[in-house]
Amino acid sequence: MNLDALVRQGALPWEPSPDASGLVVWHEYDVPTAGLFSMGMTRVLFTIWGAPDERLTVWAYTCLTEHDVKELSHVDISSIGDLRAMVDGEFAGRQAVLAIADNLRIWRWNSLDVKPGPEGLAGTVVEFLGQVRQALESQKGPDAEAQVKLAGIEAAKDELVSA
Amino acid sequence: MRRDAGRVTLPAIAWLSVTDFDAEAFRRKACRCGPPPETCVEDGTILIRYYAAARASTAFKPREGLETALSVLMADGWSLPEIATYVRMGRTPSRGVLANARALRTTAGKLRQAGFAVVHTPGGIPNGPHVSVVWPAGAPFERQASTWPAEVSAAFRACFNKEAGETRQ
Repeated sequence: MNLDALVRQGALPWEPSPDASGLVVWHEYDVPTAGLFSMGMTRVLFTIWGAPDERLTVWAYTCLTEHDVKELSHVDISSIGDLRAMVDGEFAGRQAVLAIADNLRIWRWNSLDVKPGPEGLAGTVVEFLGQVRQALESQKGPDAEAQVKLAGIEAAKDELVSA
Repeated sequence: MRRDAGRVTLPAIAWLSVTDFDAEAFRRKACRCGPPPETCVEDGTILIRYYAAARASTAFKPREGLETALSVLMADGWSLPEIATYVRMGRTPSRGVLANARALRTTAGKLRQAGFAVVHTPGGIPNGPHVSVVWPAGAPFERQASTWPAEVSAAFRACFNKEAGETRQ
């Protein structure tokens, strides 16, 4: 399946295309944040990176086979940690679409190969955000670019100092 | 509009019919604990509403085009970081996220008395803590209002304690 067809500009992240149907919600908070939907005969796994009440959120999508879906239905899930491990594990080593949503509407996206291993999706999210940031910065002059970098350092400092 | 013992009733409302919200998806995520999902959560159960401060103005009503039910968690005794971690799909929240996090508490009984349906919807975690609050209460698997009148939203807010961040009694 052409992964670029999975998402459309302005679509809801849990229904990212007019062809998406059969939503199965595994996790939600006000809105669906992880689960499955169908695109024709293909089942698509999706998950959020962040919280749905933040303005910008990252979403990841990958296609599953029927065999994958059957196997997942037998996994014993008893906690949010189990669910996260199962979802992240399915992404590891697969091709995925990563998308940024602005106020829960798809804004920018790209196809990437998710790194293998349990932290593979996390690393790929970081790589994708770097790509988006670089693309945005390249559209601006050096003054604006410096201001963006400074804002990023300020945000990182707020998170790290006295953490 | 008429108020009767805290229950909000409206003479005419524009709620969604079964064809306007994803009723099948709602059924699929509902619990299979035994009792009907809309009675599964006992009246005395403590429920937590978590939200980011930046979303305070829309935290007590559905956002049009995004949702027809609001989430609360059976998370009595959980710390704020534990609740935030659950909301973020098991990913650890940053200091900045926690500084802006709010968590208010109520009971299932208070919500039901105020006219809301309280439906256990654990999704992919059987016996999980997620609960959907739907208005009106009558038939949550058939009708869910996409917009709540201001008085309904106020009634929902009034079910919760005033102090944000305190999740323990």
